[in-house]
Amino acid sequence: MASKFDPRSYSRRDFFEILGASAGAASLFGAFGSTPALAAEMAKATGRSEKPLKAAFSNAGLQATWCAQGKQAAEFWGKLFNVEVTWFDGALSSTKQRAAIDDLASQKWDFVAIQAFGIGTLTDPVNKLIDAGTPVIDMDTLIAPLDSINVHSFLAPDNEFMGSSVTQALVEAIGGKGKVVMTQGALGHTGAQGRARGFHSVLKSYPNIEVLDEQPADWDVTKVARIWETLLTKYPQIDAAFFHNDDMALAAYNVMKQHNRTEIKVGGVDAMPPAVDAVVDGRMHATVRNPSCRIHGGAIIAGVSAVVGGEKAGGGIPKHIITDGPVITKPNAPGIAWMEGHFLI
Amino acid sequence: MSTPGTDTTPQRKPTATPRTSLRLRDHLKKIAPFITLLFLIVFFSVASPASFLTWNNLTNILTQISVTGIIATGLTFVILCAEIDLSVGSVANAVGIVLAFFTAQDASVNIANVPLPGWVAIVLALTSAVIFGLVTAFGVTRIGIPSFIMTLAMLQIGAGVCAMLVRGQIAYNVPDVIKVLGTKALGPIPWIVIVAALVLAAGHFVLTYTRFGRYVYMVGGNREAAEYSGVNVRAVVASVMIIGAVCSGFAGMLGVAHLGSAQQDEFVDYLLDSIAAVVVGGTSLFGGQGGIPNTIIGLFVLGVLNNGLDHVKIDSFLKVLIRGLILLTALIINIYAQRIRSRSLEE
Repeated sequence: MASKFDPRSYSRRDFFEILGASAGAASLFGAFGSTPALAAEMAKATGRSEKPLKAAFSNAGLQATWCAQGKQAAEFWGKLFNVEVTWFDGALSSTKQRAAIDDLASQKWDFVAIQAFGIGTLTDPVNKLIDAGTPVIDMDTLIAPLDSINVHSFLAPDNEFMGSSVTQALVEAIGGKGKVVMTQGALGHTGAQGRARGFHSVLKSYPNIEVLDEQPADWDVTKVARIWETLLTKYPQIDAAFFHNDDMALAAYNVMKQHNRTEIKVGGVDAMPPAVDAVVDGRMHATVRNPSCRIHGGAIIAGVSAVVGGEKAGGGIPKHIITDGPVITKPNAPGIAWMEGHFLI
Repeated sequence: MSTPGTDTTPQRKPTATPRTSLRLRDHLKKIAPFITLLFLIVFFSVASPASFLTWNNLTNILTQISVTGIIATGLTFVILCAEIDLSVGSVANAVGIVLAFFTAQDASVNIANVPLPGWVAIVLALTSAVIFGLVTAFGVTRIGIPSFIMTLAMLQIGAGVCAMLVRGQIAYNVPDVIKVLGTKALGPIPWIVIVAALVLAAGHFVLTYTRFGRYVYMVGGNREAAEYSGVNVRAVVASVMIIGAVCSGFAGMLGVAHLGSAQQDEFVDYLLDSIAAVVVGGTSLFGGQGGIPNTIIGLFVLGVLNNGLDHVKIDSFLKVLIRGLILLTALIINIYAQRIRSRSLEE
């Protein structure tokens, strides 16, 4: 289903282009040699770099809609802050991303932002960048445990919070009792592990809730469909289901619909536009925003602040920034969709 | 029957194909992938001279193809025998994880592992690789399961071993000697490149200069003929499956050290990369033709292509398509070169 919330909103683009143009004017004045000091002051006021900065970005894999949205956000914020973003696709593969980061590390960049596909797999080339004085911003997933690598800053949501907040919304919707299912992502994924912890932390307080199943579907929508065909046949009563991401939730909803079991309250994670649509029209009860735009846009701003403003890790910028997004239910869904469309969350 | 003097039809002179031309056609199949490689090098050198043509980048390319190179060495034996091994990535992953499982890990690593001295961990890991190979060999040669299906099952078993041992967690430490081979360098050349070169050289030596190597080509070229000639086909096929698993396991051990962590589904891509390296280099999937030099060229074609695309400014989404198109072109050139060669041999 096509999203109702088109991120390429012309009004948004116009607005930000005007904003960008005002900052760009600062550089233009400088170029004509009239008032370079004024240009510098204007650039400083907007936090924008006077000279174009070169940044390299890599996230887990552009096949994932969350990552593709992040790329759009980084490029959008990059344009506003005069940063030329070059993308190195992780292709949802530890080995491919490692090769890409090795290649990235052999070139010169003003700053680099990375979301690792596999923890610990990029440590060597990232250390090489850091040793060469390039600020490296870690996005969403740890490149390596924070005490073992000196990244400029780590911008990530709290997965446990995301898991617990959506579970809480589901539990309240079913009145604190009943039968629930959790369909997990890949067991090796730290995000999935955190979301599962969050799920269990909430259910501990509800003794009248029975967990029927917690199988992993490895983020694979085909596997989700297969698992849910079985679950719906096996269990005549399922009150709520928590999925570790929205793609799996929506895939399972289609199976529920085929079995006329749409009374099941469905919760997911990420709040990508199709899921926000699903919350608005009632197919999903809740989702929680894993703020791709905030993380990728934040990496641009953190990089520019490090290069232009001389911000240092631990001084100007915290080593770890938690970028949690809100739980999305019907009342706040349209607002979140608007913010996503403008790369704000 | 025409007799001299009565036959008035113009006699077609036998075409005197120059010897060099014949030799060139004969070698065309080997040359074609090399031409693709040269084209890629020239293209990326022109497109991105500042960063592509540097020593650092050459080291990058060599390092990036090293693990694939070790796996592809074993796979070359398997494919030359007209068999296939789909479990190489999974076995590499499992053996790497076995190595980490028997190595002491930091307290933060939540795995119920069994820390042993480094050399014991290495021996156990290599033994597990041999066991994987033995099981595959038994299934293919004794039970008679086609290698495609047997290794598909081994792929699942390897993934299962990975899942059971790490249970979704990540291990970081491997024995020191493996860590040195995976991450350090001897002068300007990374150890992993040296090891890969040695493995490829050993593979070439065995295939070219030993009786076993000739048997591999015979079995792959014409299994029936090999059998009638007294070659123990079963033993040869079993051996290549074990060689394939050991090479994959060894690559997995170095790969874990190189990547800095051992976790599930880490080496999934090595399967297609290593098959592609062998085939793009010109080794026939139907067996009997090709060898390690072809595999080396295939490795470089893939390595330069993947690396070069990171140095030129193109849309990330377009890169995937371009990579596929270039590989397809390389394969088409190989096929046509093969046809020209066959025609020249018929003449």
